[in-house]
Amino acid sequence: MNIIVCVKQVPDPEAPTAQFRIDEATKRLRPSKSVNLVANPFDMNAVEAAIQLKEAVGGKITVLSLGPESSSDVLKQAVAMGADEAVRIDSQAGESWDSFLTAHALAAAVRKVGQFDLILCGRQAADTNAGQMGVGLATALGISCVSFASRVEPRNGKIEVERIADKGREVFEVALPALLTVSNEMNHPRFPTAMKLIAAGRQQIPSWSLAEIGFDAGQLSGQWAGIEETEHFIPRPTTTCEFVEGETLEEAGEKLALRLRAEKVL
Amino acid sequence: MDFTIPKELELLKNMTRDLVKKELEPVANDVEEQSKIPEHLVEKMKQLGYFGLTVPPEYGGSGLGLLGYSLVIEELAKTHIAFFLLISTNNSIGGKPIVSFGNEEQKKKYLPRLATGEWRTAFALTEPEAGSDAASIKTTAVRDGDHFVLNGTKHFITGGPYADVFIVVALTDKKLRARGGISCFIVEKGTPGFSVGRVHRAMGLAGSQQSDLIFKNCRVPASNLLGKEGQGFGVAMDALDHGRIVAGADALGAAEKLLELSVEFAKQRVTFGKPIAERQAIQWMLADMATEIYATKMMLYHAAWKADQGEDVAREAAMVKLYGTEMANRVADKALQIHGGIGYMKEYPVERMYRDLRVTRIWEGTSEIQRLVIAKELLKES
Repeated sequence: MNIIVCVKQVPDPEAPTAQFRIDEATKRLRPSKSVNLVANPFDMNAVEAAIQLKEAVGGKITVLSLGPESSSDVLKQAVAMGADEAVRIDSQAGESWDSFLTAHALAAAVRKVGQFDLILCGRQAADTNAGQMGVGLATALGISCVSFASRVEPRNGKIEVERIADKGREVFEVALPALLTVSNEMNHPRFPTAMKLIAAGRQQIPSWSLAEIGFDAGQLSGQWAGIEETEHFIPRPTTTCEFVEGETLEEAGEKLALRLRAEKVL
Repeated sequence: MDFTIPKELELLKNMTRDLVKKELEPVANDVEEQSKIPEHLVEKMKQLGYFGLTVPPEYGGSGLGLLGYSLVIEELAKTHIAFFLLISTNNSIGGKPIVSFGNEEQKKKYLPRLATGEWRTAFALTEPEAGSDAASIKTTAVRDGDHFVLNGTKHFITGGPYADVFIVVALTDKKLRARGGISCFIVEKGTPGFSVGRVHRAMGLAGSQQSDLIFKNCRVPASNLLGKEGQGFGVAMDALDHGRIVAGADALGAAEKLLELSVEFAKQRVTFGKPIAERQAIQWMLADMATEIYATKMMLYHAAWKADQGEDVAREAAMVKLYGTEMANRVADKALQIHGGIGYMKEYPVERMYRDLRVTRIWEGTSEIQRLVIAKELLKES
């Protein structure tokens, strides 16, 4: 099975909130210098899923990332885990990226890679949490898509996919080629061995320019109405304190439970 | 001056940070309470190659130099010290002598097993009457045909109860001592005449064990002589130079963690209507901690890099060990003071780290011995 995995480098989502501020000019969340750049956690679930599929049925794993030079670190990590090839698509400073353009650029890169059976993406990136890119990529390529996948198994040339639904789980039989957006429930990404990580760290990750994949943002942006982010703010939490009283502890507990239910906490 | 860390080392440092955060730190309290690292984590560390970081690739390791290894230890030191001790003997004072002085046969037999963690090592120099004055060891090794017969007692040996392979320093010529009368031997567990003595009860270091080792007419094949006969003091000192820089890396990592905990705590803890972080008394402590940490980091990275270039770093290693471990103890003291009462309690890691860091001013040569080494080198030059 030939699998393509799309990964993204993001500011460490576990860094303290105090280390982020909103840049008024660009309306983007800006991390402070002390926030490390890491692999988007969901994308590492996708890499792990690809490796497990390869271990089960064989094949080849190619990892793609659209981003600046530093994104190579995430690709090296994926190679150390067990991916066969990795290519960075240079995002070119000055370009303004959103889910739509990213999906189309990655679609162009996928076409350049050529033959594939399955594309895996993380369910969302931990920086914007838009969750649109995977679905957008499937649309751009015109292939089937299952989002929020929590399990995938090879089944006679097809795959069986379990999806996290609003209530419960759904199971699909999916013909290939297809794209899955992978949720963290699917697996625990492995740590690479020190030896493989060092070897991957010393590797040069090839990069393709936008011209090389035949992508022109200017041409595309004329084809859609477009979205512009006009404001980015952190809502101020309001705190009120309410005492739930009762004659006995049991009564107070019962009243508290009812109150919590009214607030839809329970 | 370029202090950029090579990419592969940066990635390994980051992975170790991740491993500490996700897998090791969550069990730190259990390690302390049960004085044992959960078996599945020992296995994981083996699988990920942490036992063979400094073993050359041709023997199954990652071939890291001192800078790379120090970067890993700096991260590992941010959780329970048992994890550092778990991998430090194979990578440093236990394995390094075989890497540097072993013959091909010895390297082929031991290094691949040390790299996978199948075998664990211990370094046996210290004796009841020979700690700082290592050259006054009493353990003897007398040649008898194709064997050496060892007699004597070692103590405070980290890993004594569970190591498989011991690097044992013994006297082969009582008159010559450090000037050619000391030799190093590889002794395997189970060699007749070798036994593990009493296990010490330490102030800290839960999850590891230190013990006596007893040699009673212990016959060691002459092929287990490490380096040449009479070269043993040099073998031991070379291992200690390596170990001293690593001891500095451990102290640095622990100090960084204590500063991080202190900053976090100082911002949250409110007294007299303000977070204590807004009080100058606390700010000055934090500033001093950060400054000393920065100084240690620069010393350590530079000394480790110099060692990797093949330069003799005996003096720098002593400086890194002296300054780094004394610094970490000062940082631990301030961290505990900033935390106040809760810092003294076992619910917070500060109390544990404070205890565990105390030994770092003693092991791999006390602070006083480091000063002696530095002064000796200094006076030799002028």
